[in-house]
Amino acid sequence: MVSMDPSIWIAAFFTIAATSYAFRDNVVFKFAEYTFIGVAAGHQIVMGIKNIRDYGWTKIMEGQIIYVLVFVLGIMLYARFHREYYWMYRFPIAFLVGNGVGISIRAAIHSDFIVQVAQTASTPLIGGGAMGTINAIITFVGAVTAIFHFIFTQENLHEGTLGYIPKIGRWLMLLAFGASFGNTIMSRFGMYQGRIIFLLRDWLQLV
Amino acid sequence: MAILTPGRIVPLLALILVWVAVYIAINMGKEGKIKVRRIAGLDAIEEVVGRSVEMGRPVFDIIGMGTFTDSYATQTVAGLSILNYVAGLSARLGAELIAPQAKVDVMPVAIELVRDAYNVEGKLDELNVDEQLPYLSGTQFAWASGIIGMAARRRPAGNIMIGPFWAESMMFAETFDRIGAMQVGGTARTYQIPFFAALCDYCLIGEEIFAAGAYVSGDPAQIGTIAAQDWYKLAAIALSIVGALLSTVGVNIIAELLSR
Repeated sequence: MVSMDPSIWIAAFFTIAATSYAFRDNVVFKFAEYTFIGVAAGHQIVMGIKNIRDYGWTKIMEGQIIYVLVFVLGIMLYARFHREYYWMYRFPIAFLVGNGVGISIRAAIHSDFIVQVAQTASTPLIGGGAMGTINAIITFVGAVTAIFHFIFTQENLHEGTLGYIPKIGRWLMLLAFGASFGNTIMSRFGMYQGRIIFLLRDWLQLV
Repeated sequence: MAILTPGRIVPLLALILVWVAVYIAINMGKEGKIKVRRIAGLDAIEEVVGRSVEMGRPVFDIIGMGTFTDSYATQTVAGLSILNYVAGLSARLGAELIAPQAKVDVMPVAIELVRDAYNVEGKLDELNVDEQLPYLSGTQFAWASGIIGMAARRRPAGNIMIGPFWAESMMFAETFDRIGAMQVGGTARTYQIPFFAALCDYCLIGEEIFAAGAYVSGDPAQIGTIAAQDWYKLAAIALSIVGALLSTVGVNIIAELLSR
């Protein structure tokens, strides 16, 4: 017995339409593509209006006048469409960029630099049995040589005998990428299996 | 409340040192004292655009769907620098550039950069912004399906993807590979690099995209920050080696100092 739920039929149609691209570009895929883009645009507009209402207008109505600033900055973004007042558009962009960078910079220094160095520096190269020692040495060599690979302004570090160090780093990174690639492919297969199970169980009700 | 919080003293010092290092490095960059080494993938970009001209088919340049306000802003800036470079090459050599956009705050900057590049080459009248830099969607997979559809119909000869990418990276790399486009891919998003490494003809790994962006832009500020980062990387190597050796003999002083 096939499902009688219209939402299941719609989901099944778009699953098949999207998958049909695997064979070649066709009118069914085009329909799914344009529908997806259209729906996404509509959803974005609705969410945008909702955000303006929830995080701006409601606050002003509650007496928090500072939120007028949000509207002023938002309206200034549209100044880019005006030939004369084009420059005003730069202020909200500068605010957005400065805000984003300010929030992320401390975390970047802490998590991307200090924590990483502390982890590498605190791992003894010998200990934990033979496998532990091999693991520690591979991790240490991988970390140091990979960082070496990403030095761009000291050309002498990439020449002669020293040039082998970044090459080792590159090969170790490629090994890691291979493992990551395999892992992700497996998870994508899992997602696709989910769609196949949906078609067979929820739509066609065969399993 | 204490002014200096335990566990945040070293990050504060590191931050101050970053400011100083970047300031010094930018000044050195302005004086032309810093040179960024050439990256293999960069030479390939010219080859990609040249191939598009020879085959009479478009070249795609995708900068990802990062914004200026997220933590991937630097990758977006690198992608924009490359877009400017590709636009200049396309205008000079006569290739049709297509650069679909996903983010409303990045799009005007991308348009200005492409317009500027065409203007420098005296080919501004050949640029059609609506056709060449279309806004598709700010939603990840709607944007991805739009690009996949465009790629299938336009069959570009080349594709350059440099910037922040998420799960759509494999879809793009696979699609463009399937239609026979020559590809240069690069991102600093660790989980997406393997897809570019596996499917692109040339791959820029991680921070290579920043160096590439700085290299093609010639901007002393960007080149200076690359140099400052290099100094930090050398410090990281030194601290890691000394710390690991000391840790092996039971002295864990480096990690303890860094945790303050």
